[in-house]
Amino acid sequence: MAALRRDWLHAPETILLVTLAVLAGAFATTALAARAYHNRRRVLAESWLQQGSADLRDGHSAAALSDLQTALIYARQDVPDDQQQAYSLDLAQALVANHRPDEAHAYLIDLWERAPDSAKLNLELARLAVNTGDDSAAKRYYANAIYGIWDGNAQQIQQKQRDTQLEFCRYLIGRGERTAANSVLVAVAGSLPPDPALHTQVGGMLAEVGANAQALAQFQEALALDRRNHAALVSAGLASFALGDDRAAVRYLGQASRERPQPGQAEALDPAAARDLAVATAVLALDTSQAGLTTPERAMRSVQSYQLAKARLEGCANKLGVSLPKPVAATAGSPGAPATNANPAPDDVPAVYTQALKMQGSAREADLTRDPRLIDSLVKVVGQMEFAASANCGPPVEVEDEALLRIAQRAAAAQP
Amino acid sequence: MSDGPAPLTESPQPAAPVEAACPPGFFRRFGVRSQALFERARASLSMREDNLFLLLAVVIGLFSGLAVVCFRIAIDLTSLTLLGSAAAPGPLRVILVPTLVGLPVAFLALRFFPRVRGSGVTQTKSAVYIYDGYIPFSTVIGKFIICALAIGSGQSLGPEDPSLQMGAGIASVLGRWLRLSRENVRLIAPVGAAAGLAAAFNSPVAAVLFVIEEVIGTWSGGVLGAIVLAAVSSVVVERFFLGSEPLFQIPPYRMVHSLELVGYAVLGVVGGLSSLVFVKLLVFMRPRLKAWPRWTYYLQPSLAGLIIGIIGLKFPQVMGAGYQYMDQAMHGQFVWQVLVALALLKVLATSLSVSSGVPGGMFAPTLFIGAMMGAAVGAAQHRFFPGFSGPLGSYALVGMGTLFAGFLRVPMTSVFMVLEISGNYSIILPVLISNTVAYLISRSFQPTPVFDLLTRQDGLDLPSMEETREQSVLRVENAMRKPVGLILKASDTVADAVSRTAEMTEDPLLVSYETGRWALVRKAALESALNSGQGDLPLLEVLPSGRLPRLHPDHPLDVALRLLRDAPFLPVVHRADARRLIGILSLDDVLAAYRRVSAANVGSGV
Repeated sequence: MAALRRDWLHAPETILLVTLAVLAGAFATTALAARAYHNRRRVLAESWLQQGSADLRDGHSAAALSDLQTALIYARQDVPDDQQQAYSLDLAQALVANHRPDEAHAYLIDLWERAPDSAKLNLELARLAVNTGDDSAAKRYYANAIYGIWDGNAQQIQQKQRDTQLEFCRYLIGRGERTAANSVLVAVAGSLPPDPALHTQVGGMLAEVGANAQALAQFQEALALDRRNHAALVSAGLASFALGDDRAAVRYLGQASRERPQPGQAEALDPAAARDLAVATAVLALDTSQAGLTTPERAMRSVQSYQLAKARLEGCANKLGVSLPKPVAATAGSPGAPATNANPAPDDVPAVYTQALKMQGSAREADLTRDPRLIDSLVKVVGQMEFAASANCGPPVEVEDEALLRIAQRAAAAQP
Repeated sequence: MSDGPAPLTESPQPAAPVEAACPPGFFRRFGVRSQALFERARASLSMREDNLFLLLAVVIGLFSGLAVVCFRIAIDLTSLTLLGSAAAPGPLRVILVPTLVGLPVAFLALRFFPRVRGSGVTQTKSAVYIYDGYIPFSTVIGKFIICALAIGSGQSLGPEDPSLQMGAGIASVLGRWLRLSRENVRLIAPVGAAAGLAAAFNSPVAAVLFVIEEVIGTWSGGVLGAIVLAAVSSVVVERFFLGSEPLFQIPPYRMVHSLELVGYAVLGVVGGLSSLVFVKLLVFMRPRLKAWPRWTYYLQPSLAGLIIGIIGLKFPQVMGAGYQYMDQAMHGQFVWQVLVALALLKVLATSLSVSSGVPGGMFAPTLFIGAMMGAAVGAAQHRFFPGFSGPLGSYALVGMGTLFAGFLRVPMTSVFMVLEISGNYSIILPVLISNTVAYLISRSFQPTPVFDLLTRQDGLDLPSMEETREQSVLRVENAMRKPVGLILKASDTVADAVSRTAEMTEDPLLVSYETGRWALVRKAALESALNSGQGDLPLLEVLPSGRLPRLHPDHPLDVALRLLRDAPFLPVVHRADARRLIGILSLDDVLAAYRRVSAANVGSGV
């Protein structure tokens, strides 16, 4: 009987059945143990990630680094790949914050090799390249990020792409690469959603790269959506001013100045915008070439301009210690003696002043009204005085002088 | 070593009666029809022995995989419980945990599981070569518990070596339960060893190669299939439960410049020298600690733990297996000074752990040291020759293989391990250069491999696989002599042959056939044929049809010995033209060749 039991115990069928049973039991036990183990590691990974992220936010970069490294150890096998990317990205940021860009680069490159079209990874690599001054890598990764794969719905993806494009533009502007920045901005501007703030932001960047007309178009888009948008009004005013459209500048800036000041600001306009508004207003008040002016009005403006410019030139000469020739008594009604040098050198203060003195006799409203041709000669002399004063004593301080210089510059630019 | 699995029994046993295999009354309850079905099922289960061997290999692989998964979980949970989840545990824990846990580790190892002390590789080899493949199940249990405690508490050891022994133990238990023959139980242990190592490493190819290179020493076709099956099964189980993530996240390799290879050659030199330092320190410390009084054996793991804890205060990376830190080294997380410090401290810590008798593996520490050294060399090359430097991770990876080749002295495994871990064939060139340099340096200055040194320190004399591989094989060309005397042609008549050989002293004589066949004929047989009236017949009609074996110059003498059997000598012929006789070989010639080599070895002191 004992021998029979022993044979039965070692019979192949028994062995097979027992083996299968033990194997099944071992599988079940291992599965339970593995499940508990993975759960625990996931929890640990998550808690260390949260702690690391909090440390990173609070600026405790060294602690964040240690926490995130620990988090990544637990995340390696127990957190899905896409989430692991977030761990590594945080870790890379912590490394950058700890001034260890090479290590951050190694982590990011490792991830990038596995997901080269990940826009987020390319963006982080681009930022890292910006930090390390690797210009070509920065441009390459920014471009990859813009055209890479983003997470989220269509709207979110568009927003992320746009943000990346704008970040790239800021980088290009910072490096003085205005043409490249302009091309990216034009592309961005073409697909902006109806958002005044966004139009204003893009317009502002276009203005930074000198594309004032495109910038103005963006501000106008913003104002079309929100006509009282203060930032857009100011920016449109500044762009119009830059484009030489003083009337529009006065309109936009004037409207902005009447709006309630922006939070945190005492005045509705910042000093630069206020100055531009004043200059543009002065231009509109002094410019003799404005359409619709009568001859007496033009004569009055030209005399006023002459007095202002002459006073500035005299002040400049005084400041420089240059002695100016005495005024010659002029006969009323005579057009004045012809200049010894009709076109003196722009920086030759005495010569310009001499030229101005010769026109002094004509700088009377009645004479000018009688002979409107003299208005143009007088305006020309005004321009010469402003150029001479600016060349020797720096940019004008007074708003009216700046307006006169602006008028003169515009006139000079319009000459063939 | 046999060429394949020996038959399970000398002759197939008749199937046991069904009644003997089933409980009494079984068929009474389920009827005769079920009995017929059972008979048929049983017949289909009665497979050939070699198939059973392969099936058993799969089962061993599954069990080994499960055991290794549980083992790794146990190590991690022990570490989490004892040292906490932070990458850098608090100072009190770092000091106290390895010190205090050293006490139960020593107690369990000395009192309850004495067979678990030492390296799993040498233990498995001992089982194979000394104990006929016998590894008690208690060793598996002991290895599991004690190693989980030791590694989890921060001792500088790895889980691969114990996994190897656990796999071998499981295989041995299953083999004995199945009543395999002694030869097969001996063969099945390496199968389990490969399964255990494959699961621990997550690298089946490297595991298979290691077992072949270090445990069984030969490419035996019969057992290779079983080893591969077991390794693959165990890796499948391991990946099923622990995920298919590789051990390391390897940065992609690309060769920046061909001069970069010089850096890898330098890495080979550094790796070879590091291996030497590691081996020398280990073989220096181990016998000295062993020579201390026996009662100190209970305290030595604690003492080692204390020193490792002190190191861990500044460099916690040295504690435990350290895989995560190898990963960090691959990603340039340490400056070169730290990398060198970590490598040297790991050498010290591991030597302490192993020498103090803590059971555990040296694979992970070897990889750790290699990764740190490799990354350090890479960092130096990046600094001084930035134009000729590839990714830092590649140096760390190649460094691992380099230490493997230099310290463990398994050149093939070291190459394939790197390829398998990296999944990138293009790294082969740096690996080959670095590993070869390290291997040659290590072998030149330390002729005996580390595992052989350890077994010899334990008083065992196991076959050294490296020595076996490198033993010069004596071939037929080393022993044969020039043919003398007349060679008859099969077309010669008997009378002619008798007349031509009458004056000759040589006997028997070779007969050459046009077909390339050879035969031996004795003069007496010729004369007898002549006397019986067959003088006009050609020899080919008179000679028996049996074929005389023929040899080629490149045949090993072992083959020649088997073929010689009762023949006084055999012809050695050209491989391209079997009719062309190059020499002859007799048993005396073979013995003379062996004597010459033996005398030469004695003379050179080998």
